[in-house]
Amino acid sequence: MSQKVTITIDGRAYEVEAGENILQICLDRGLLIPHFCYHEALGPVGACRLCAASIAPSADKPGRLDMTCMTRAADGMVININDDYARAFRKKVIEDLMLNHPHDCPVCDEGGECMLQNMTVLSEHQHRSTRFPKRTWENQYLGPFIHHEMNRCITCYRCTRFYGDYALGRDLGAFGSRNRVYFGRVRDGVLESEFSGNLVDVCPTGVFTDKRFREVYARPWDLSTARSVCVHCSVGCTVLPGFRHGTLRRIKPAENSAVNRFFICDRGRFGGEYVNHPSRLRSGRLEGQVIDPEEVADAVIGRLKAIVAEHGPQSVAALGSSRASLEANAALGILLAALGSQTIAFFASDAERAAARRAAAITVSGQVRVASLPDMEKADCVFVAGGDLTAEAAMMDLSIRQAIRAGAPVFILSPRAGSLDQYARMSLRVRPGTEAAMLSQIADSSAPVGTEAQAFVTAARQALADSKHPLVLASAMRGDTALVEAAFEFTRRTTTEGRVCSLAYWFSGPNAAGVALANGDSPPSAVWDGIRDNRIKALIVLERDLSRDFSSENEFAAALKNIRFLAVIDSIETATTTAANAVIPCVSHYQSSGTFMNFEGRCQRFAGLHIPGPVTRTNSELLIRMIEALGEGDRIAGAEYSTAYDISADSSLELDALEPDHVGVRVRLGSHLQPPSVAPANPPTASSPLQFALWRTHFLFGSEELSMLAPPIAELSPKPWVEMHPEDARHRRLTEGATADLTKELGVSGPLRLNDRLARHVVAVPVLAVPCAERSREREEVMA
Amino acid sequence: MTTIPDLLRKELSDHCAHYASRRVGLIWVLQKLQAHFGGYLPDEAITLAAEIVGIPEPDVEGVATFYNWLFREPVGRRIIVVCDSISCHLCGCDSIVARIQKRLGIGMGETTPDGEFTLLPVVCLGNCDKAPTMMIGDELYDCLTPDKVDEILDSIYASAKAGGR
Repeated sequence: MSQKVTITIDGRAYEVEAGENILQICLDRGLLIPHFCYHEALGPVGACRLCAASIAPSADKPGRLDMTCMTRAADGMVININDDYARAFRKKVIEDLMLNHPHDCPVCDEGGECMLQNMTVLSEHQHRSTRFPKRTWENQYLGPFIHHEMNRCITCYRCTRFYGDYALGRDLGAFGSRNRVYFGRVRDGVLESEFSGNLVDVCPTGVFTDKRFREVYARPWDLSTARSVCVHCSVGCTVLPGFRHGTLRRIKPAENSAVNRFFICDRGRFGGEYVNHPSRLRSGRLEGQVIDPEEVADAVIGRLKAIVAEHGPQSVAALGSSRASLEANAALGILLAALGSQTIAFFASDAERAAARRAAAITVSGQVRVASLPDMEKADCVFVAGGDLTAEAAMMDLSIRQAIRAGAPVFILSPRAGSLDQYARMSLRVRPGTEAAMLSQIADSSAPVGTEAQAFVTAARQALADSKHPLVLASAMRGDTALVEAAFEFTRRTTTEGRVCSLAYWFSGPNAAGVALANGDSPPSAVWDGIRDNRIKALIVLERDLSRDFSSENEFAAALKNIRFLAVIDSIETATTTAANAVIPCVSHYQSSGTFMNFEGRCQRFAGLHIPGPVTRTNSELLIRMIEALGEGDRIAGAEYSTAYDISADSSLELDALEPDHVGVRVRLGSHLQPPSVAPANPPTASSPLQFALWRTHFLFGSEELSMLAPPIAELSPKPWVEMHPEDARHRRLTEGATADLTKELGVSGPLRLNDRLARHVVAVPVLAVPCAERSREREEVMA
Repeated sequence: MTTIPDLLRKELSDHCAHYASRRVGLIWVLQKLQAHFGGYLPDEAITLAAEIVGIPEPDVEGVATFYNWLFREPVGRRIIVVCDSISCHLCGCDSIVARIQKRLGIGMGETTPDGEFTLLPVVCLGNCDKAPTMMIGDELYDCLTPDKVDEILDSIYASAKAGGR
């Protein structure tokens, strides 16, 4: 256990943890010591020599100059930050750091939030006494995200310490020696790391800056910002979007000690630009007529009432969304109830709903330890099953990389290797759907193991036996309920005396865990069957592109054929809004307020910014307006979180009081859903290995619909292809680049890529969220 | 992509296997590759070293650009390094450098057109008691005077002409 000690800083006594570094102690208490190389997440290295202060072991001993970041607190220590000698020393150090730094602050993108600028002023350095010319560099092209400006470098090594040491990136290095150290790639090219954007924040000055922000630059103090929650996956990182003159200029991570701490992934940072995309909805539409958004909302109510009058209340159904807030989805449910119907669904398929509901219920049940991102960093053995963690929940991957740095072995069970596999102790390429059985085999040391998996299972069992804090991560976004159960069973079985196993699932959207806990929703098939059978005539869709739930445009068109009236509330133009009778535009996520529930059942509130523009209403406001138009406004006043979602009454009260600057609260399960119990996973099925299984591969850049509207993300997204193991391709006499036509077997075709890190007898295709504007352009090109 | 003889590749790879971490063998691998590529490390040597040692390319480039006896640009057959540190500075290394430059017609950091010599400064050759001092190839020369520099260069040219390169 940590021990409290008393130390004296500038004449005042402080009680602190023994062994904590002095610099962090001072910074936490608002005592600013100039510093550069120290970063809370990266730790101290004592390289820049700037954080010097006079430190004495006790009051009766003389102080001597030492680096505060490298000194650990001990009882009786006396620290003088403002000692004359220490001040003079820091001033000299910063003068040396500034030797080659250009005086381009007025035109530098870092100006206004430059650590070097702040520290220089804080250290009182003003006059440059050297006369030598400053060294200059050529900059590199580092891809669409990051701009490089090496002349500004002060050689603090923060970039390589983050990029290489922390994020395990392998393509950024430090070259040369002494006053000619250069930070960059061996040759020009796109930075490979999924976390490269953090260089912008980690660099204390303007060497690495946000390339997109440069295009639409505004001084940081001119940006309107408010803490929000990232909308691009189920991790729920806290972010700080910055707007000016009606457009989003950039997104930075906001510190959240319980979730992402200091960093975010590149999808989260650069994907937010969708807000400025031309396909954002800027006006309402009713049967092709452009009208005011609120008028459309009122007209929709009129039409819905007419349909209910003619065909009964059950002729109306709604589809909610994992990218809309708990409140908006609940309001959609209330609107539907006000019309007299209950048919509301949230997921793409019945299987996805079943898996997500089970995973969400287990997550908030309190029956097992659910890992947050900071918890994941402390795991000493990690099992990842059912997908590509980097692409599907990138910041979980960054946390796992911290566990790897601390020596944790990682074992991956998935059909296709992703970015994390290069750091894994072992990976097993499996057929989709067999992950659950493999996971069970690892947990149950008496289970028989097939020869192919022998080495993997043996190593995994051994690592598990040696671990004290193992962690299981499993996908809940692919409708594999058996995997969800197997991960739960794994966690319970391996939590024994002296070992606590923790668990986390990742989901398909930022609020997927939230809507998975919705009370009284229906499986999606109930909606689609109702439409097919002509029972459902009208459909209200909230922030969702239904075309993504179908494998082809024809299927999508056929499914919509019978709908008499389709009303869509969304912020972007999609295939669904294009097909809709009525389109009600709402503001983008970063302008909305509400609550998201992330993968660990943590609810975070976000309070949107009111940005002037043609569209000013949030999705919730529009829905409430519609409910009020029905004369059912009382339903809103009486709404509780615990009525709409299966969470406890206590959690509901906590949510009522939740503030946007809070780290978020973890909710507890109510009582409506089945409490989790262990169900045995299916035994490994002897499916015919000769049949190909399809694996839809998710990508960090390209598979998520909102971020695909951001130009740099679209630039890095994969082109359509079909992937096979080289052996399988050889058997089929197919070569790289040839057209693989598997339309009959799997409904896919395209240029073939060979991938020896793909499971045998599996065909992989990328999941591509091609923006609807681009799709229609491509269609026109084909027609022409 | 330039390749190297299989035997050399094997020798380099085997050498790395001697260490607990293959990375340790990197400097030796780079020295060998430098000798193979005629005294310097072209870009492909960096890629090759990364592949042989099994570490990321930037790590190799970091080492290759850090040490002053690893060259990333073509150099002459013999490297002349003249010490310009304190002792040699006090004992007149400037006149030594000036004589070499005049005699060879090159500036500091340049290579003679015949590809024989590259002139570089160095910080201390550990020979301060016999300053000023320089090294040509593997040979150390001390207690230099400008005239002695001429003699040394003459003898090197003479032996080169006699085929003793």
